[in-house]
Amino acid sequence: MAVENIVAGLARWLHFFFGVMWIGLLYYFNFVQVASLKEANADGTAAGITKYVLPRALWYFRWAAVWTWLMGAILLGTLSPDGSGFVKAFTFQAPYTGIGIGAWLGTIMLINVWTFIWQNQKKVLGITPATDEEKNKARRIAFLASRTNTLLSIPMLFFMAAGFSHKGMFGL
Amino acid sequence: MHWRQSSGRNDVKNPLDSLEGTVTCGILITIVLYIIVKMTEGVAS
Repeated sequence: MAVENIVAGLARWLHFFFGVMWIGLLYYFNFVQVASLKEANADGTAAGITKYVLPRALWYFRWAAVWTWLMGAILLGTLSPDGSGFVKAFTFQAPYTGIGIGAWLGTIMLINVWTFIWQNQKKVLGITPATDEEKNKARRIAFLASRTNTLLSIPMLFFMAAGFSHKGMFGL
Repeated sequence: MHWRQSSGRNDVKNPLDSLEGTVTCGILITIVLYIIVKMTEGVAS
C-alpha cells in the first residue's frame, strides 16, 4: 500500500472524527444548551451547566475545530496526485469548486470559533476580567457568532459532502 | 438600535435569534451558493 494512500485514509478518518466532535458540540450548544440555560437560569440551576459542562465542552469544541481543519488541509493535499489539491480547492479550480466552498466555509467557522466565540466566552466564564455590562455584550456576541457558525455549517456540510461523492446527484 | 429608530421598523428581528431562522437562512445560502457554482461552471465551460 502506498504511503500517500495511508496518509489520505488516516486524514479522512480523523477529519471526520474531529469534524463530528466540533459540529456535534456546535449543535449541542445551539439546539440544546441555549434553551436549557434559559430554563436553568429561571430556576437558579444554571451554574451546573456554566461551571462544569460549558468549560469542558468549549475546550473540546475549539480544539476539535483546529484538528478538523488540519486534517482537512492534509486531505485536500492528497486529492491531487501532485499535492496541489489544497491550493486548487481554495482557489476554486475545477473539479475542486464544491469542496473549495466547503473548505472556505470551514475556515471562516474556525476563525469564528477562536476569535468571536472563544474570546467572548472567556469574558462570560470569568477567565478574562469583565464588568457585568461587558459580560452581557460578550454573551450576545458569542451567541450570534455561534448561531452564524450553525448557519454556515449547513452549506459547509453540503459542499463538503457533495463536492465529490454526490457528483451524479448535484453535478459539483 | 439607531437603525431601528430611524427606520421605524421595530418589528424586524434577527433570524439568528431563532433556530428556525438560522436553519432557514442556512438552507437559502446553500441554494444560492449552489446556483452560483453551477452558473460559474457554465461560464467557464
